[in-house]
Amino acid sequence: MVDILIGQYLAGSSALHRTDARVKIILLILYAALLFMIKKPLSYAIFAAFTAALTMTGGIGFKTVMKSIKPLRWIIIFTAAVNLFFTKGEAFFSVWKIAIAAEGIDLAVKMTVRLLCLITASSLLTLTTPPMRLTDAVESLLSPLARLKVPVRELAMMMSITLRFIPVLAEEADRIIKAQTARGADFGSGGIIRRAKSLVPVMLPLFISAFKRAEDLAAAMDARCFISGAARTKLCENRLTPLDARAGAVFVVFAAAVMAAELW
Amino acid sequence: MIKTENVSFSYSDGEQVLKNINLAIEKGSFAAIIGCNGSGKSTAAKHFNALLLPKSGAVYVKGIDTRDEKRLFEIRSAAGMVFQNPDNQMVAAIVEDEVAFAPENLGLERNEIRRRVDESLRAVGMEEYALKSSAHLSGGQKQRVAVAAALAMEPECLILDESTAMLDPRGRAELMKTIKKLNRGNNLTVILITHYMDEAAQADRVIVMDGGEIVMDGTPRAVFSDVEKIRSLGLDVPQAAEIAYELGLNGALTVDECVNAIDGLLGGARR
Amino acid sequence: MIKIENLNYAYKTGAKNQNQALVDINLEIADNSLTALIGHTGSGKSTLIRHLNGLIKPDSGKIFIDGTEITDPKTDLRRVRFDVGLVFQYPEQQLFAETVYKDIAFGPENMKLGADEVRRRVYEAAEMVGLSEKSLEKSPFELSGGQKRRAAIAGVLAMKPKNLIMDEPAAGLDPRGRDGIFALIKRLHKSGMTILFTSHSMEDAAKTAERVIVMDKGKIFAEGSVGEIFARGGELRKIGLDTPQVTRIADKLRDMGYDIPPVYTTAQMTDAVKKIIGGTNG
Repeated sequence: MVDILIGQYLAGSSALHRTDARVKIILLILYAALLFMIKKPLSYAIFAAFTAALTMTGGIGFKTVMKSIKPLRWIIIFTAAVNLFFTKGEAFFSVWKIAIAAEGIDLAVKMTVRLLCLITASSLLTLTTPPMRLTDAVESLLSPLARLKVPVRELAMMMSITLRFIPVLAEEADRIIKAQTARGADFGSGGIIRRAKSLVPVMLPLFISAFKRAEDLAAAMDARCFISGAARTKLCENRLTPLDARAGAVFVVFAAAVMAAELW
Repeated sequence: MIKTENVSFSYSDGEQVLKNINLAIEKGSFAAIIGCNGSGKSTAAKHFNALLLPKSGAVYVKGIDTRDEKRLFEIRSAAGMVFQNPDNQMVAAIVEDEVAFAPENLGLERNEIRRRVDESLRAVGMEEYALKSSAHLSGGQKQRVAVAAALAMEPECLILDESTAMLDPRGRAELMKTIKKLNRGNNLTVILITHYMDEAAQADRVIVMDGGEIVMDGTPRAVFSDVEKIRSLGLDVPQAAEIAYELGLNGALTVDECVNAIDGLLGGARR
Repeated sequence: MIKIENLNYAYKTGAKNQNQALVDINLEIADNSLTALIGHTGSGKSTLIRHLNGLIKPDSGKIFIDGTEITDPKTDLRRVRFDVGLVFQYPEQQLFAETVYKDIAFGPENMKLGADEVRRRVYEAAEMVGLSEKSLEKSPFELSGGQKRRAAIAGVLAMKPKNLIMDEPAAGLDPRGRDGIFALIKRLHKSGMTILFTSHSMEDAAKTAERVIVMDKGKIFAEGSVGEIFARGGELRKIGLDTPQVTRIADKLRDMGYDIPPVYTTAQMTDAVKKIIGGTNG
């Protein structure tokens, strides 16, 4: 069984769930910008604590967070390793021929915390925002671009459908891999070309299935009066509430604390 | 409600899929269309809501010619459709967003969308799941949501295009119960395309298609009592009808009817 | 022979829904038997059959195929997979090659057989499922729905497995297609294969299988010959399985006091009624 968390939503009614999606997106962008400007260990600590507090506010369990981090673990480990081994500086200690610099340890830890915070915070956005609200928010935030003839509405619709079909296709891929394995397919051995070739029996059925699904979906959308480019109304429009002001205020306090730590 | 006049259809490769179909579906009726793969039943269904347009002849939905592009919304809102694969027809990840999709496309006011979403979900008994993710629903529940999503257009007719084919027996029973309730209680016209004879037996009318033509059309009792013909078309009859036929007791369609007929035949030969 | 001992398996999807998928399964599938595995979606039948060629590894318990313990980490699972052919639900969705021939050849080629042997097997498998030589040169996507399914099944048969396991082999087919698949299953069984297939439908099991295993909520609910299982119609209905109309008709007649033995096909039913008529006349 595959278990993919990308774009998955966990229903709830926490303050984090109720905050306007547009506010959440903007704050996430600011959060990420701030995260890449800080240098002091204290700032990292504040970031980690704030992210943990947000997770708890959203009622998201530790296990769920781990699940969203897991698929990206190799990137985290790789980044940490690169920083650890390739940062030049005074040798802190050395094992055999490999010298590890104090700066390397410092950078590796910081990069890891940075990535963990960023992944967690982005997952919080998708975990606490229904996909439709998310796409509506993206559509709303990008609406100025519509004047430049960018098909914002269609892009938003595509994004929401993509999010919706990721788990479906992941499960399908898992099933096809199992089915071809049952026919003796071997995905794990041989050179790059052999391996790439061994993926054909998986990728081709997967593409065919994706096209079939797309066709079905198009018919189902047509049958419900969808016309590309036509104006639509919304069941729930993103609307700002006092809660959003409070969310903004919390973020300002947090940002101020980080700045203070940096300047101290 | 829906009327076809000499409808013929062929795909671009030239193979004729529908030949001269004449059919009138009455308002409030429950019609089943059965036939083998390739008999043209799904192609016919797609003509009922202008997903396909006839190559010759005409289809009228509520008196509107389906070729009238300006009235496309009216046609499609009048004839809602539920498809085969529950996963492939869902646009949204959350149940109520799914049901809201059609009214949003129709450009309705927010309060009206809300009302329709709530009413449609209630009509299929899924109101408790409004805010749930559809990924965690069973097959039968997903198809009920798909029915609600069509009902949100307030259609007069619901077309189910092999919507039970991918469900397990429990899911099928669930969906059949829902559409029968909508047909009886809300006077919704239902057109059910199916491979399952026991489902067709529950309709008021069974239309049998073969090779793009309508070859039988009548009450389930009349259609399924012609066991030889049904078999020659590569179809089944419900077991109750088959047993009755084998014993020379024509006309039994359900378990109870068959039991009564056998009881009559055996007279008092009880233990 | 397939033997399962104390098998347990739970899905690993986070702490929230640790639903035990299989609980303490003990089973024996005899050589050259034809068994139907019946149960609801979520009863665990698909999970169980995926254990039988090592696609899923159990949390605890052992599985033996012809005496080899496949749950032993040292066992070469690829070899096991050539002995236990597994046909997935909607197998036609896994077709991928340019021609039907190449698709059927995929399994034997993975077995590293010689070109002549592969060729022989492809033709043999195609003949078994009733695909013409002409269709072997076609693209699998040009075939009709029923033919596609047959081509996909041939792809597994070409590995010449001793045991064939099929997940919902008739799902989504029309009555003619369904009859065709079950006729094929009976043919394969006659040729000496051990066959296990899953189904939602008690009717399909009654028409095709010799033995029936009923699963409910990850456990074996009942096991026995078709006759034994259908004699327990009431229990099956209680766990929500729909018994065929014929069984219900027989049950009702019996309740009314008629001497009807447990029956599960329409032919048996008409015979039983005719026997009573014969009895009263004579």
